[in-house]
Amino acid sequence: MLSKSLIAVILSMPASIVIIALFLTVSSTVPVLRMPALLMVFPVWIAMASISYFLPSVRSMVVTLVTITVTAYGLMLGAKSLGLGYG
Amino acid sequence: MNSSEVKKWLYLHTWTGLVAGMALFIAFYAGSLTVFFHELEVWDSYRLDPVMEQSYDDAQILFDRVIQQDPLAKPNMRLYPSRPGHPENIVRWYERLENGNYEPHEYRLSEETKLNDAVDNAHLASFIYRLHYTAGLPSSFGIYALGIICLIYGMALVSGVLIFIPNFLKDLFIVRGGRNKKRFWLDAHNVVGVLSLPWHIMFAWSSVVLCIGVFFLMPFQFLVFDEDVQKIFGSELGRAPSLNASGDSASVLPVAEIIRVANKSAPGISPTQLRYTNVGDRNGMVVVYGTVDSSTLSTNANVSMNSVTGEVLHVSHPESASPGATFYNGLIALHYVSFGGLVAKWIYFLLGLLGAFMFYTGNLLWIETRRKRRQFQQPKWSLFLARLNSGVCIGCMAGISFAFLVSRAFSEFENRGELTELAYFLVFFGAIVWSYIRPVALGTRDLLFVCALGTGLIPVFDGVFIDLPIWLSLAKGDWILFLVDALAVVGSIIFWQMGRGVAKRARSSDRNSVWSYPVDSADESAVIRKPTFG
Repeated sequence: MLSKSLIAVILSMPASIVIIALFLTVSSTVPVLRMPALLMVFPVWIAMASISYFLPSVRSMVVTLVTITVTAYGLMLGAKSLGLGYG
Repeated sequence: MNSSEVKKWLYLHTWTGLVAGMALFIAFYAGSLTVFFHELEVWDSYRLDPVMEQSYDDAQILFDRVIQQDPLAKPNMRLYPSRPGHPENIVRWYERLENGNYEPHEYRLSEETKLNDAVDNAHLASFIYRLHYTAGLPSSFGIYALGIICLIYGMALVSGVLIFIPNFLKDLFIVRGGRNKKRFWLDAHNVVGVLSLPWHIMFAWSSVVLCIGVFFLMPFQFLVFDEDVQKIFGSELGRAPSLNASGDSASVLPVAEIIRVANKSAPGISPTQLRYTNVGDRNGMVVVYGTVDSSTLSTNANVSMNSVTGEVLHVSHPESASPGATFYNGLIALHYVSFGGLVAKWIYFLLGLLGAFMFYTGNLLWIETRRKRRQFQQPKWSLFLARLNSGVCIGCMAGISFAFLVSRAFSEFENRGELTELAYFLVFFGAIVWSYIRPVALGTRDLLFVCALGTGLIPVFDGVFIDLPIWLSLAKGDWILFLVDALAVVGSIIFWQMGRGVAKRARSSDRNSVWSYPVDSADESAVIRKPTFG
């Protein structure tokens, strides 16, 4: 249970950050959403960490959280290559 | 949700509660007092010869004399104009020392319009505030430690709710007394936790933003933004970019004129601070911080201007803030209860105490759950946590009460601030040591009686050291002093009753508990056997 807790807490952090980063990138044309999105890091992190507890095993938890992180990061790079973002 | 899932959440709730509980107890107890920060300052700085409220003309004299006498203040100085509760104008600037620390310099105008450079020695309110956001750890990392504790606190809240949901309707509003102490502490913990849940969510969230929010920004600098993130959000939150010094000297506008210009840009602003940079330079700047009436939660406004020409550079007003800034400032206003006046402050005060109670009962629940009902010897971890819980939580409350006493007794001493902190830490660590050298029940009872004594002495010290006993402060209409003293009396009675309650349970309840006296007879004087570990 300790390993599951640590994985939930630690791996959900990059996942939450990349999800918010993806949102910021695709909504870059609406800068008014920047700050509210950044303020949502904490609730999203808590939600991710909590939801990951519903997964049956440590392995499935790791796979799910890493997949979410990598997918969101890939989508963010894709959105940037399409000209979205603050660059 | 089936029972195995509830068990998983219970595990999460348990470890998060144990890790974060005691630090949060200190943060909440100190925080509930910090709600009355201004009132604590007034209590701590009470003078028999009250200072008359000074004017903006006095502020001008003070400003001019500081510039003349201490030119090192010019690059960065702050003028705090007088306002209700703070009758004196004060000028402060901070000198950066070689070791990286800052030394404060402070100036006031005496009644004979002489410059008084004695730094205010009343530190009780700011010390309790520091306890609130560091839990007593060194400031350099305490604030970050508390930020991480608040992340864990968020997890504890979610898991606590998920555990409670299956019995939500059955158990809400029910506190079952009687012999089953575990049931009692569980009900009390649940009622307080569920009823104040929205408030706790807000606190966990805003505390993380305040303590470690800057670390959350860093990854976005690399992932999303090319421009400096702090610059982007600084301007959105109302921070004007500073002007570079030109090297040409020029005279600064009078204080009254600066406030008049600020009032024109932010009508009704009540100035609390004028922050000057590069005083005497043609590109000098001043930011007038203050409060305004607002239809949003936030009441903070500021106006930045050139301190020579009066040209307004930037205005930050809650009514014209961006949605993001309104969201952020609203969250911060909710944390600092800068809305709703005294009613909101009292509600926060009570919720703060209830929050501290919730963390304390969470640990008691852990101990009761692991209680061995058929043997005298209790698990070593139950004894360890019971001692730590009593030492840290009750020690914190006792330490704060003694800090009040020392701050009052040594009000004429220059090192009053250091003595106040020393008193807190001596009592705090002394309480922890005491709780480990005494049997749990006796140690807890003793500490509660010490709490009652320390708290009860606050009005006595007011009577002895400032000749203002509680009845006289009532008769004179010194409401802040009267309320502090009255609350101290009520607090003292409550601590005394709690101490008696611990003693009663220790004498009368089941012997097989960490909370019973370690003797076969209930006669405390016959204490001969301590519970052993393991």
